Amino acid sequence: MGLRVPFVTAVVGALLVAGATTGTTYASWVDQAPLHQSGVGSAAMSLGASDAPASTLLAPGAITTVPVTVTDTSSGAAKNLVQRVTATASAPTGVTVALTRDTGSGCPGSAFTSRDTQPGGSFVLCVRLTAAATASSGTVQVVLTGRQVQGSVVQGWTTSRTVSLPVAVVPNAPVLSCQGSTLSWTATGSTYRVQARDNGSEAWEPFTNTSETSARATGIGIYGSRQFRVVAVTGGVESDPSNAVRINRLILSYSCEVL
Amino acid sequence: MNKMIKGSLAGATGVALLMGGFGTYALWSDSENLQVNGVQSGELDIATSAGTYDDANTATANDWTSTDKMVPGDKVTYTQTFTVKATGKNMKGNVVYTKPNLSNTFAGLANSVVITSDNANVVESQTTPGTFTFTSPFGTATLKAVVTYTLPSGTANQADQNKAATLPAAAFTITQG
Repeated sequence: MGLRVPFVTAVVGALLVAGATTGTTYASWVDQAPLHQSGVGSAAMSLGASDAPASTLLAPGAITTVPVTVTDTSSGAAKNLVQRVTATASAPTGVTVALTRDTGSGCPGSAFTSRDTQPGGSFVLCVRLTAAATASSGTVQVVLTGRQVQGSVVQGWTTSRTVSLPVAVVPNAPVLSCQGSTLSWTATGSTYRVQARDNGSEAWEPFTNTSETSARATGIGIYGSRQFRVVAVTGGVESDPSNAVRINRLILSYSCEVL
Repeated sequence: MNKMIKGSLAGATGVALLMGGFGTYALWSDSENLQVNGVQSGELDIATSAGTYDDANTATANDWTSTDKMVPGDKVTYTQTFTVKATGKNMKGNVVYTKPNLSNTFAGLANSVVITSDNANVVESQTTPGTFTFTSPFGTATLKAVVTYTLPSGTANQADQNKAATLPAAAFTITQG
């Protein structure tokens, strides 16, 4: 009984203080409105090119043109993206490359320097190939480089794409000569296919294959004769046939004539 | 007349005289109205609507969409306005915006939120950006929030391609006090 009165007094006092405090701190208007979510995303800059032919045959001295379609494969939603495309090329020994613009109706046009593109745009780059007589087969590489253009200033992103063009140089046709029953020819390929046919026959048949530049004519009957010619082969690519020669057999001796 | 009738008449006459006597009382009186009176409450309110994107490098307004993609050199803004009302004789308080963390996969993206007031009575704190105070009722004010995203021009090679950044929603809170 002696403690009850002070305890009740303390509880009541605490409640009064709490109430007073509450009354002074929680009495204000509040309202809210959101700054909505916002955000951005970035694009990607890239270049694409049409598939190059599996192999391009180059005849020495002749000009061969390979059109390559270059496409700006950058993100289509890149509102302000412009890239300037330039190109350089390298080629096997003896093969020269010139890069030209498409005239709009085909290759070749004037020399290619650069081209500005936007996502989805494309243009044709003409790759003109010329092989010297001593040219080697191999791969022509065209390196396309895209550089971002901001206004008139080239700065920002860069990208590149390499187009590989396998080229096979067609060997020159050998020049065939003969002496007696010996055939000899100029060296224009890495291997040679000697072909023969009987007089009066139209079809040439394989006679022998060799990496040498001479061969002996055999299989000619007494008082008989056969014609021979040679095809040079380099990297699986055949030249035009050489001139033909006719070998004539008497009994033991041979004579020949260049046809 | 018999006595009964005479008595009744005399009684009725007496009552009538007595009733006539009552109608002669007259006291002074006066009155005044308690005039019509009342009170009105003030208002504390903030409202907004959808914001708009803009390609800040062009003169055209609102020429950016949420699906457009940035490239180096781009500067994109997102602008949203807030209409703020504070009336009431003793109204004072503040408007507070706390910028949340940017959800960001970019390496070099710059981002900022700048808020301006068109009312001189709603003033941004010098020490706490995003907090505006008012010490008296100002009626109506407009706060404009501009969120800016900048991908620097010098972003080279293939940096920051296919990235994304999002500033989450966050409240502008107006509080009396």
